[in-house]
Amino acid sequence: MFTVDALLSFIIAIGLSSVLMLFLDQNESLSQEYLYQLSQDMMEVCSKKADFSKSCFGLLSELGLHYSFSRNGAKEFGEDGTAIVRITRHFSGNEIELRTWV
Amino acid sequence: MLDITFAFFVILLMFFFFLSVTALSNRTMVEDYQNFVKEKRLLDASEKLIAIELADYSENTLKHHVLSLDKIADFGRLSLEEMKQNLLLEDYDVYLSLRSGDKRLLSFGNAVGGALVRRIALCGEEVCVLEISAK
Repeated sequence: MFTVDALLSFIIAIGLSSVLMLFLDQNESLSQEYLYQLSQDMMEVCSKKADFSKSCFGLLSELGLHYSFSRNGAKEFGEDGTAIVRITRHFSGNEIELRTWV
Repeated sequence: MLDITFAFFVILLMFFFFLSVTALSNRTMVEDYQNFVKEKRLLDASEKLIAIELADYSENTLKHHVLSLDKIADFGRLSLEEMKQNLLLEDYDVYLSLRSGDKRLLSFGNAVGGALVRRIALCGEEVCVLEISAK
């Protein structure tokens, strides 16, 4: 026999599973890959110019990204924040690192 | 008896609700997938431009991220349709631009909104930004 409790439980279960289906079955966005690609480009360009200055990396800010640059573990310029992408290179005996986030 | 009838209709109602949510979810998944494909194609197209199509070739080496001004000029002579075919973007309305500071080195189509991919490279000695968007 149906009871009000059983009916309510059923309604809640169906409702919750419907909402979960809407939000969980989604494809991953490429935004992280895109951020990585753009950061890699910036590192590549500044490496090719052998220019690891604020002005070279400043283009990232113009494109709406946040970043910080460090050399041998010491931050040289950029913002504070939680990085999503981290790219490390060895250049002229130094370990340089670019961290970016949106 | 009335309770059972009421419960039956509520369950039927919930069943249709569930069906409609499933249909909506499927539609969202299809749209997500189409966007995913579009973004991936834009990324591939930008990679092709930076690493092959416009990349400087000298000393038997193709220099990715270093774009040749001659190749940029040649590419700029293509029509919009030829450019889209070249980059496998025939299915979309495409806007492409390459600028170095305020100087526009390449421009195809009109701004269309939609998915956007930006890439950074060297055009000669200057840093330049490639933008491709598709709708």
